[in-house]
This record gives sequence, structure tokens and C-alpha cells, in this order.
Amino acid sequence: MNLNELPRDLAQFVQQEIAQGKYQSAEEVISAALRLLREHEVQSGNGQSSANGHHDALPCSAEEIVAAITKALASGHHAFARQLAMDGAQQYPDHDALQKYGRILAPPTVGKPMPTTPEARAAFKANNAWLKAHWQAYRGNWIALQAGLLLHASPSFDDVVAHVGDVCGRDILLTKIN
Amino acid sequence: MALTFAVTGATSYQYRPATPQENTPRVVLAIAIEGIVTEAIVDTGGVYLLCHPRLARQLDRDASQAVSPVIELLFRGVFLQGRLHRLFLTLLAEVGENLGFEATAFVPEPHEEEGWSDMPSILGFYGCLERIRMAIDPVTETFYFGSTG
Repeated sequence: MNLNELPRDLAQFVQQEIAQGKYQSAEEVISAALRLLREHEVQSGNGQSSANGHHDALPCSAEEIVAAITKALASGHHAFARQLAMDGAQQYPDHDALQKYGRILAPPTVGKPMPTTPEARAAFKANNAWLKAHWQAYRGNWIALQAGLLLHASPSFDDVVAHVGDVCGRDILLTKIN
Repeated sequence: MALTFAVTGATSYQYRPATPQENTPRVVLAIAIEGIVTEAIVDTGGVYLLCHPRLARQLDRDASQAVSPVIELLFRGVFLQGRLHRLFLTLLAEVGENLGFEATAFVPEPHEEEGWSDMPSILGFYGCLERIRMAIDPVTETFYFGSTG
């Protein structure tokens, strides 16, 4: 290998590694460097897919895949985590953890239109109109709104919930106005 | 050039700052998270649905329904601890029909409640809005949405 083709600092580094006895030749140094680069690319989620659409050096066992997903999520590589989860769930249909990862990290489902009554639309519209008109007056408060009527407002979330009760499925808008 | 897509529903949105510290307005939509109607800001650069911790408490989701373990998500310069869940979201319509879909949601751990800023919940694009056709008319402050199915 002709080191003159490398930038001077890299050529010096290669010579230094050989001089220290870590490697026998320039080819060995370059190969080691490329392996590290490939490993880094796979870990960072930027690795090139091979012909079968999978990353090189993918983990094989279910436990290794789970560990790799966790690592990808922790480092913010969400797309790579999804790919691992989807592939892993397909590869290990009886592995509970991978099935859960596959389901939760899967792409969102296609939106499904849901029948809505004219009354529900009117109530929702009234809430939006109230917010447009009054949001500035209630800054710093949690509010509960229903069909354009203010049920309660308070800086305390717990206070509002205590006044209106369980909001789930009751078309009560619960939000903090900042 | 006319741009058309099949709209399922439309709603007005609020265009206001999301926190007391901010002056820049954001697109704030009323949505339902697992049947709880609340507001969320649209953040096309964000990931997942980030569920407000206090609202998460109302959802009554236990850790067994999430992927484990707890992960950390970088949120406004701070790492938040939480778990990933699959939640059902509904885009609510003033005109047309609501649109429901399942998305990946980051639910902060209960101890993060105090550390959460004044942000409402956040609709990220990746893992959340990525399969929704949507358009915004800033003149009428209307958010249009449609199914990709």
C-alpha cells in the first residue's frame, strides 16, 4: 500500500502503529480502521443495508436483539430500533418481549375515520372557539371545558380533576393553558 | 398547481405559545389520547407522542403494558425517563369525521412530573403522525387531515 496517497497525518499514524508493533503492515492498520468504521456505522444506525435489506453484523439471538433495541433507543436511533424490533418480532414469533417491541415500535396504524355526531362536532367546535377567545385570561391554569362551557380552572391539575372527576370518554377537554 | 388529497376531517387549531417562556406561537391541536380530550402541539421534527406526565397518570397505564426497560429521551435539552407504549389517538373534527390511529407514545415516569416543563403533550412525526395526510391553512388556522389507507 502506498501511504503517500493518504493525508500526511493519517500516513504518519499508520507508520506509528506499525512502528509500535501493533500491526505488521499498512494493510492491517487500514483493515482494522475500516472494521471500526463499519461497527460504528451499524451501531449508529447509519449502516448500509446489504442485499437482503438487513444491516451487517445484526444480532442473532432474541436476547441480543432486545439488547440492541434498548441500546438504539437509548442513543436516539429510533428508526434502527424499529427495524430491529420489526425484524426480531418476525424472526421470533414466540418471544414475548420481541413481540411487544414489534407491536409498540411498529409504524403508526393507518388512520381510520370514526363516525362523529353533529352534536359532538358542535361541542368540539365550541371548545375551540372558547379557547381562541379566552386563552390569554387563563394562562397558567389547567382548565376543563365541555361543549364550550368552562367547568373548572385552577393552576393545580389535581384540583381540576377533583372537580370534574374522571375525564376519560366524557368529551371534557383537559389542558394547561400557558 | 392544485394540490388535492382526500380529507377525512378538519379542525381549527390554536396558534399560540406553548409555554410562558416562549413568544413563538405553535400549532396546538385538540386531540383525544385513549379517550381523554386534551391539547397537543404539532412538532414535525419530534418523535412519538410525548404524553404530558399528569395526563399519563389519568391514562392508568401500568409498566407491564410498555416495552421495558425505562429509556431516556432527550427533551428540550433534558433527558427524561419514561417508557414506550402503544396508544390510541384521535384527531378530532369540527367538520367531517374524526380520525383514529395507534401510535408509539413516550410516557414519562411518575417522578418526572415535577421536572416536566410547561409544555403540553407533543405530536411528533416519526412514530406518530407519519401515516396521516395533513395540511395547514394558516389563513383560516385550519388543520386538515386524512387517512393514507
